[in-house]
Amino acid sequence: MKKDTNTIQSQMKNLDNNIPPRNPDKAYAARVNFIRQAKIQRGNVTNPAFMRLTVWDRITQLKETKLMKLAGIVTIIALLLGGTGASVAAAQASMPGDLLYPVKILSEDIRLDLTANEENQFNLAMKFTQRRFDEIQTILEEEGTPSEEMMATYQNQIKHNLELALELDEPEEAIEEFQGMLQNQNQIMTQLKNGEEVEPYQFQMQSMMQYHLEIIEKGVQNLQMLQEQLQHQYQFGETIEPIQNQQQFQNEEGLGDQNKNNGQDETNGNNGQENQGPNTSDNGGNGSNGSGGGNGDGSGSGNGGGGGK
Amino acid sequence: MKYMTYTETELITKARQLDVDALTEIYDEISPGIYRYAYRLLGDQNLAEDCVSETFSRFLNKLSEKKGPNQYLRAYLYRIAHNWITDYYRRPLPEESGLPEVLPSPANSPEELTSVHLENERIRKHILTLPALQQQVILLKFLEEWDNKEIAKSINKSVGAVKAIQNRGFKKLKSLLEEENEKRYEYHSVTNEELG
Repeated sequence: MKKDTNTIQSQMKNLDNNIPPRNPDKAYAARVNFIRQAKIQRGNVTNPAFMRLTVWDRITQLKETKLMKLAGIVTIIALLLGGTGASVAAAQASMPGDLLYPVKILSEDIRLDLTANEENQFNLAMKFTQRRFDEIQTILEEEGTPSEEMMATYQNQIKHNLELALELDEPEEAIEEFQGMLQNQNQIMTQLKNGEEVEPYQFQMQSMMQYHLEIIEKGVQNLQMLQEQLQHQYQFGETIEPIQNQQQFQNEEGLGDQNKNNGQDETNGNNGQENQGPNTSDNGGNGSNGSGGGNGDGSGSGNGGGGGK
Repeated sequence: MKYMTYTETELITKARQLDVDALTEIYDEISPGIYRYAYRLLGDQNLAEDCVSETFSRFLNKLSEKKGPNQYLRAYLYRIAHNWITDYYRRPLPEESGLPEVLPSPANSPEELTSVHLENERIRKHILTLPALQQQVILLKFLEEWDNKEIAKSINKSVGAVKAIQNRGFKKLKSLLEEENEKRYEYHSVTNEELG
């Protein structure tokens, strides 16, 4: 019994090794919210007027905390640079790693928060997704390597953008618009790496982009399915295949027809369509050659085609 | 459990008077643990955050109704959190969730990530099939490493009952895991035979 206890206990302990750290923004906002609620409750005892504070107050509270944070950062930067509130404007041209970059991100966040109309929110998010991509593109063109954080931010932005599209009254058009933008970005990404050795992060990024393109392509006709796909990926989190296939990916470069076979083998090996990650990646390989672009079997073909143009 | 500035009794007394400093201290000391506890059972960051917020919000409501704990503060809060999680699983449909917030690190191979992930899913799934009390006792005992007395307070039972629940839970978990291993073994042997 003792031995069993230890085994099970150590298996359970593994659950702890994989607890992701709390998102500091959310943890902070939750704490502020709790303290505010506590103050309101205390106010209740002496002043019933506090009871009228509603959910709306909680929402504005969140905005306030962000605004306060922004004001804080801007003040510090203004002091450092001897500048003024123009810092926010100046921040818009900043790049990841710059002093003013957090101001840029935070001001975008606030703009999104303060936009009430859902359609405007979606349009703003489109703009911000494009910005994140442009930043990565600039770094690649300067022959730098985008940090993992940048790619994660870009991925988050894609996710957020897609969620906002799904919230619209008529999401189809918005999703198509988003799809067009992502295809375009994917194509730029493919061109950027043409003729060079494929770096792991490029592979990772393209896999991620193509995965999204793929679920969008299928989801345009079936929004329910798109939502489920997003959820599925969230729960199982294994769709974005990072490095493991890179070797295989590089081997396939320039092998034209064999790509197609490999792609099919893998599909069979996976027993169906559930695991789209590796297939998507193979299509990406095809796309980059410009030869096998449209050949990926089944669902991935549209994406492969986009890459091969 | 030790707190930064007050003793537990002082904290509870002040919390009942809705003293904001005391409440903040309680929040800072206990909310990280509640987040971990919720994440283990829910496997989702956003839901775990929701659980933390809701737990403390309910706590405040109880205090303002002049209810709330007289002792064993932490046990009390974990009980609220556990009830929230149980309620969550009783809801008919899972709530909409988004994509993971970070790209997987290149340092971890997909295979490794997947196998660790599956293993965790497996354990989580089995823990969740246990009756609610057994779940709570096992998590508090083996992951939070609480003593039986505090667990007893958290679930409103005697220490003897805690031990009994713990034993039953463990046996159940063990048999679930063994059962699954057998099934896997059978599956593999069948597959191997088919492959010839």
